[in-house]
Amino acid sequence: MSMTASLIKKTSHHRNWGPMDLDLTAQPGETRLLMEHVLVPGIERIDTYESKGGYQALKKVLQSKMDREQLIKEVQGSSVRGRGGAGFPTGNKWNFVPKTNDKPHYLLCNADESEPGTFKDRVLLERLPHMMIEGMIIGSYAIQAAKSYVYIRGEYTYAAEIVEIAIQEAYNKGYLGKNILGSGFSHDMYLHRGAGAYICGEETGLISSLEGKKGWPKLKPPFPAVEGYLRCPTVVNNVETLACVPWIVNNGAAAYAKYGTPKSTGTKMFSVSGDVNRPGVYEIECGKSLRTLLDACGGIKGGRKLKAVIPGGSSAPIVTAKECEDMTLDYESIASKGSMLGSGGMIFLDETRDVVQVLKNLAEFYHDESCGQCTPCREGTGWVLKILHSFTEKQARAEDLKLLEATSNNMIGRTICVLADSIAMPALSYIQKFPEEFHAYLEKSQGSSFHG
Amino acid sequence: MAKITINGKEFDVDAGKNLVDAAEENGIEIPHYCYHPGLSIAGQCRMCVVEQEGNPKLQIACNMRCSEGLKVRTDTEKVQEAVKWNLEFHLINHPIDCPICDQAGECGLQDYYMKYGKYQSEMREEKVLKEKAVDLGEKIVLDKERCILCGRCVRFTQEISKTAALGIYNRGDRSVIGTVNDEPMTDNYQVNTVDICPVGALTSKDFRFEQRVWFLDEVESICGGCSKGCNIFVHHKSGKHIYRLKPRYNSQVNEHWMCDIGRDTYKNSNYDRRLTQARLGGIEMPTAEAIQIWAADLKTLVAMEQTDEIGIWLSPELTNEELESVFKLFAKEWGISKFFSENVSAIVAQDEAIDGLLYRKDHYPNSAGFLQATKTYKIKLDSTDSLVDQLDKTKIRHLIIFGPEADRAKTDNSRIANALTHQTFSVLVTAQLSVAESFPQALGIPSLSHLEKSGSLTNHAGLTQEMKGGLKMFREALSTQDILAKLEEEYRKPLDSDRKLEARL
Repeated sequence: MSMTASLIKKTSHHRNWGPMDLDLTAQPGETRLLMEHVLVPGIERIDTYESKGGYQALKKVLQSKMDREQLIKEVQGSSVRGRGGAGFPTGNKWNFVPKTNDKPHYLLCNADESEPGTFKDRVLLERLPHMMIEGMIIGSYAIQAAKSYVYIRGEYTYAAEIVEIAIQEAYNKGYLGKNILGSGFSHDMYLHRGAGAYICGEETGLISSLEGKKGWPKLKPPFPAVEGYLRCPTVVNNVETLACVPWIVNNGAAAYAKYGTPKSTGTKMFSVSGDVNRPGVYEIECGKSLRTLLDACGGIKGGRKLKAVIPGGSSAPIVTAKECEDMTLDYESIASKGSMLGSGGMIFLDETRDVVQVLKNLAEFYHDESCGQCTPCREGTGWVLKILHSFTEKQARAEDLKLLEATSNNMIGRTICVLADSIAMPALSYIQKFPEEFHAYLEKSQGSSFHG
Repeated sequence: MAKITINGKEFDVDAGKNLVDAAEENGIEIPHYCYHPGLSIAGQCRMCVVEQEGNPKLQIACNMRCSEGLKVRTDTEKVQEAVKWNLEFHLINHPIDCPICDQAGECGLQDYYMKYGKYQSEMREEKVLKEKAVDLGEKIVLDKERCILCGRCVRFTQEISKTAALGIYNRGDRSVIGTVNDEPMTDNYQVNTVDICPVGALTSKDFRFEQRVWFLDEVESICGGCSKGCNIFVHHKSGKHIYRLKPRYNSQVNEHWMCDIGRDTYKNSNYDRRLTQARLGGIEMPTAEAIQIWAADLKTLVAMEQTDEIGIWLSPELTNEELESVFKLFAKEWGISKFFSENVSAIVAQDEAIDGLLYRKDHYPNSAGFLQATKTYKIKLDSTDSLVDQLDKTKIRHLIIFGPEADRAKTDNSRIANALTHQTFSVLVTAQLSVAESFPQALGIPSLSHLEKSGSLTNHAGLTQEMKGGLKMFREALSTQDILAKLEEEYRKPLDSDRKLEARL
């Protein structure tokens, strides 16, 4: 390890995670644009990355001093969408940044991956940090940002070490610093470690945290592109999104858009967990069937039947096995099932799973992670948990199911960020799609002393 | 200007004005807790939701600025349902201990509950328990369970008092207000956080458990604590006892705030600090009788054309109207020319905002008006030094002191009191018992305290502001103008009433 590794302190306020233990061998059905070289030994180091074509995109952009508008148009043309969860077109996000330069511009890489069921960025951070860094430098050039920050989840200790070394290597090679590749463009990049709060992965919560404040999401408007970090124009992009950029620059927007569907282009990295034989990270072309992914990860464990899928990280509404039959892996198809592709965190539930228990488990997480800023979320997440607790403890009253729905309905869309929606929308979907399981608990509660 | 439409009605409002304020000015209430016109926008209580035309999602009015063509509704079922539920969210973990809460009667939760409440709470689960009666220092007590985490107090300490004393600690429904390392608050603006707390979370130690707010009436006044002239409300019960002062909004002077030193000045008006009866040599008497005694002595000196043996010491806290009646009667009418005071010009010259906020070095509320009045009436002011000197040399045989409220002129008071001998007849017009006690030899005549007065004061910036008055807490304590009118009346009475008086003495 280089001396920079010592900068990463093992801190006591969060767990320190070593390298992730995943079998990343390519599986049938995968299309690896980003993960093409993920298994190459030493790919996290710059020389190996360069030997596999790394930093060619950066050279292409900077040595030709590519027109910034042209570059943004290229990214817009690829139709690549934000891979962090919201799915907002990346090129458009870049284009919102004022073209003037009265204030400094910033690019922030959101590496605070904390959504339960989502761990695909960790693969990139630990194995392909230079792909993200290359994407960040290109993005920074496009939006005229002189500084960028990687905001990395606090628990990702090993990943932070890898990224820190990678940034240093990029400086040593002259890809960061002053007058990069003689282009006149100068750029500095910093790594910032979070302290373990889920909310700091919300883009404006991340900005608050990076500013040294409590990680409270900010009111919009103003939007970060106009007034973000330090009240300056700011773009916040997910790790995977930025990692797509070098490929798009190297191969062209049209080549990227050939993959996937017209509205969901390219490939998506899916974090697969739950009751499958081979949990892991799989890169699948958008628009492929869910079956493709399920086959890639070896199918449901123990030969059991699929019951449901949470398709986009834990905040996504649940999709039943029946709905999964014709579901494809793109934003539109999953939305048509009342859910979302989100971060691509696929949680598979087999037939033995109790969805009321699953929902309570999630409610515990969102109750714990609500920042407490907005009243409906601060109070609502606790209330939802308490109601679910009364179900699982078999102390629920007949009216509690309606109450759970009403509480959830009144949390949605009423807050600064979407953390409240992240439990309320799943709650509503679980009730809607598995009402019998809630009723079963109500029946078990009948005659309990609670009703006295 | 911008034309906006609220609930189908058009209004002309200032472009860029906050929608909550614009609506309120036009008689439409948009409920809110975290929004405060004097603070930055937080948007976290979510009470002020409105429906904006063309936007499917409810919007918060506090984050909306009025612009031409803005159309919103506050009266739709969607909005009302949202407000109702939002209030329910505020209440589910609130202790609802109104019977023992000081905020009861002026509480945002109570008020909105009556207007927008669900009336039937469905929360049967246990509430989140938090710390109660947390001491935040000399002035304030915090109840963390009552707190609705609107953050107004936190923003106040960040943006106005700039102490950053308060913060929100922990997260989710475990969030609490607190100070860094539980250190006490020490600044001079703490109680403003109590004013802006929409619930009973922050209470003032001074007011706590003293009085139910629905028994209080208010009059408008100007704080007498320094030369700033903060606009205030005086909260009293039946005109007998003042319980607290609250800042009254004035964009030119104090905006929404006042300092804690100013807040404490109400205590000077209440019974235990007041001279409530005229007195001489330890004997109390009706004020009318005291004025007769005073008039008799004055008359002798004026009749003997010895007005140069009459001296008047003035405190620069008298209102412009009081000064006018003093100068008219004594200087113009009776030709008295010996006026004394502290060095008010020097006080004014050295005046400054001590902490960069409201509180000023000049502790008198009308120094500027005082200097102006002396100019208008061509009064030559002499110093306290000179007065003491003249008393020592018995050049002054009749001294009238218009004494200060509080202990502001303590040094001057004691120097004058020490120089007084039985050779000089002295009259003290004051509201303050402690001042009367420092002049045991003087004829004490009770006057109105600062907060009871009507009249005008001129502040450090030359702004003249009216006090409406309307309070008269003690029967025998009269306004300076009334005292002087009675003095003049007695002065004009024929001599035989004087004889009666002498017989009595």
